Amino acid sequence: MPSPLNLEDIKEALSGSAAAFRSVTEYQPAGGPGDKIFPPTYEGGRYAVEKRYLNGEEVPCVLLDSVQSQANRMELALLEERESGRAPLPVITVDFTGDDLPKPFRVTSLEAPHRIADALLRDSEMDGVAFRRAEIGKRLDTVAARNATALFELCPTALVFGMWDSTGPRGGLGVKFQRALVSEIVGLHAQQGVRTSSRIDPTQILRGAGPVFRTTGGGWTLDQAEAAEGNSKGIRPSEVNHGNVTPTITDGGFTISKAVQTTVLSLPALRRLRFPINGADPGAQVDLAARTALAAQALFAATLVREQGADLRSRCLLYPTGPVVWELLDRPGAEARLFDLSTDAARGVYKQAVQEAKESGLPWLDHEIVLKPSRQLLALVRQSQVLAAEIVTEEAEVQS
Amino acid sequence: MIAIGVRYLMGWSMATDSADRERPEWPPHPDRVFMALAAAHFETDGPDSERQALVWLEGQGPPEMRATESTERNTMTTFVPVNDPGLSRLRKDRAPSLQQIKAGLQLLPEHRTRQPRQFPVAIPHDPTVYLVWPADPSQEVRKGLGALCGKVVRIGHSASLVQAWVEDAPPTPNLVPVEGLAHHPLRVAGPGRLDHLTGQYLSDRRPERSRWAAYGQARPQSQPAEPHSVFHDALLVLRRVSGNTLGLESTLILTEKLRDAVVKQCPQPVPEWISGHEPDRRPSRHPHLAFLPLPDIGHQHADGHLLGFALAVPNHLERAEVGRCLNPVLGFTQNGSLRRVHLYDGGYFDWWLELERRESPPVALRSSAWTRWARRWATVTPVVFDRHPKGRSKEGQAEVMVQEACERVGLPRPLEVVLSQVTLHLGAPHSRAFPYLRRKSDSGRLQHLHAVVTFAEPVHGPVILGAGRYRGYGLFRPVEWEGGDQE
Repeated sequence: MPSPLNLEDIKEALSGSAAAFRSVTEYQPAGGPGDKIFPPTYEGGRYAVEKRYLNGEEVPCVLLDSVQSQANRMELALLEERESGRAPLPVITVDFTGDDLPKPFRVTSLEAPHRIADALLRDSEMDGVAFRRAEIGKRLDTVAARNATALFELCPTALVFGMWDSTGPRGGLGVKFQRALVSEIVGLHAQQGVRTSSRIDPTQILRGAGPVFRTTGGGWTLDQAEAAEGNSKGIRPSEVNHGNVTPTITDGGFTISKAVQTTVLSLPALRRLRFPINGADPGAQVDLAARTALAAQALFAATLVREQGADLRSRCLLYPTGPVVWELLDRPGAEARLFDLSTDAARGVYKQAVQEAKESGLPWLDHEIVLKPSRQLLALVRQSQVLAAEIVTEEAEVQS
Repeated sequence: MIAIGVRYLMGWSMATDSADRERPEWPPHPDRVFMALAAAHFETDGPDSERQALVWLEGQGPPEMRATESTERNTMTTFVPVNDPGLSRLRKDRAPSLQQIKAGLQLLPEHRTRQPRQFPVAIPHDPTVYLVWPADPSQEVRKGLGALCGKVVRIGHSASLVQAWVEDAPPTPNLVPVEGLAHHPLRVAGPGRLDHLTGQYLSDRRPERSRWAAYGQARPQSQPAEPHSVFHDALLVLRRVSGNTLGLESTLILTEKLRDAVVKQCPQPVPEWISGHEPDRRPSRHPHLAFLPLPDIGHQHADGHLLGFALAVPNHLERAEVGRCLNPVLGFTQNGSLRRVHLYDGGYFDWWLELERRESPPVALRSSAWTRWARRWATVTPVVFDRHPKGRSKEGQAEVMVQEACERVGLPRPLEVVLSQVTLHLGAPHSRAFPYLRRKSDSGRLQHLHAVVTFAEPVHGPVILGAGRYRGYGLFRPVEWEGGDQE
């Protein structure tokens, strides 16, 4: 029987010899068992299929959400918790607002592809100083597994999901942090199906109503005299997006017996991290407090993406079919202890862990740090947005 | 005895095969595990006792292993965002060009350029593997290794999470270091490996590859007690990698080319068991290497096309001798890729063959399909008679010749021999479709016929009989009479 996971359990696990927390959660498509779902496609439109050995037979499976994609979703879930004020999380944001930008937007350290080490932050400025040369950014130059305090303060998700500071002062030899949390969703007994494509035109324009002729400026006309140079032959109405499209059938989509999401939080990965404060070795208690907060954050993120259901992409919405259970993997062969953890409980444990970490002397960024993009980047973005707007206006003018 | 257990926590391993960057490596090579232990020591500034434990381990030689088969995820190219876009300098007075806009916008996440990367994944039937060394370490070494195992986070890519521990009661190994022909070469750590890794770690360089050791399936060394022929009951199977489809009728021309290739590539002077000739060029009186065609037969749509070849090695040879001569022909190169054998005649065929290493190849390419215990055997290629039966009851004489041929290869006399122009095996051609072997002395044709032999007791294969047995004629395969097909 699973018992509710609390902060003490996490501390005990980190202090002992246990290898990992692992959760294996089963899902079904939102449309019910047997409904078709669409996994991600890769180069060439192919799916990532594989065979797994289950209960003595080889079962065809398909990847529904990769390790990288799951990590992105978990980071976004944490970001949303922060933005709605429900949970604390250090965030560094590059702010593309103001400066008469047609479409303002912001990019946070949780959304940038390489997290806090991303080139976008490197090329942005804090009070006019390039980020990595500013006081806060400089701290990142010396982070390492034995000296992870600055990352704990500014971007703890980098310690959970991994980071490679490949554009810092050491370039490609920059510090690498091993990811501690790995998650993946796979569909079992996967049978590939077909997908249809077609279009029914509400105005029922027939092919015989043409031919139409292209005009200069991208529009079209029925009058041959107005045709642009070289377009006097005429084209079908379907080539200007009018009329029906004959249905075609291509390979697409899968039915599965169920989807399985496996998430593992590696405890040795967290145990490697040390957190000196102001250059001095803080002692085992402080290290434990930091590692506990990171573990709690990881478990919280994993729980968030489970309870919401997995809305992975168009026509791939899955719901968990059972409660979320975490096993604590210790001595192989011995039975694993089981825990359950609801979203609310996970949030509570996480907040408590952060609080205890702060109380033990660890730094934690409570307020958002806002960077401004460099003048040049801002100029480029503005120019690009203006160009894009011009094209749209042009098209609108021609159609009317 | 000390054993290390490794459990892959996600159920799969993400590590690239060193010989083929698009395939995953399975099982994990012992050196890869050693490197993970060493990395755990370096990255945590471990105490000297850990270092001593690693020094002890590298001096132990290749471990025996237990690992199950695996399947592969079909490797997709994933496009991973890069982290090196930068801004070019812009002139204040001029609007930026489209090129500059595009380049600059690449800093934004949605416009970031992506680099193709591959993440090959192997999914083992059982996610736990064991490495076993027979020697007994001291208590300190045992403790040191235990501590290191507890620190290991991953083996392979950073997502390939594992749990490692020192196991007191490992299961029986199924993959062991062997002499002879290497079916599975694995990279292992030897003395000096830790020093090399330490040096590379301290100067931020990648480790170089360690040395290779030959591994093979753990099997009993001695021959089975049941009746068997003079050939070893494990055939060396070569699969066709590329080349046009050819049928059993092409057996002679292909085995001739294969023999030529082996003779050419093996260490010179060519030993008698490969050439089949004594030093004075007379035919050898001892069994020698036989080249067998492996066809697709035995099912409804079979047409006898060749999937590969097998080499039947005489069982009086030492494994080390077989390895010495055949590794340069069929074995692994320095970088871990398999050598290929080229069969080429300038126009009719252009074949490449490679040692069959898959865990579950097609039935015809499994040694067991041709060597398993059976009472009744039928030909796939016809048996060649080295002389004509004369006078009365030619058929009876021919049957006796087949019985004698069995004895000549070390098998018991069969109870019954049935000769025919067609064979019991679906897909194998009529005997007249096969080109004739010719007598050396006067180029006369040697007669051949298909046959079914039934022994009193089951025997082990391979069963190859008659004058053409070293070149692929007279190859038999077990027959099931009651219910269902072979295999």
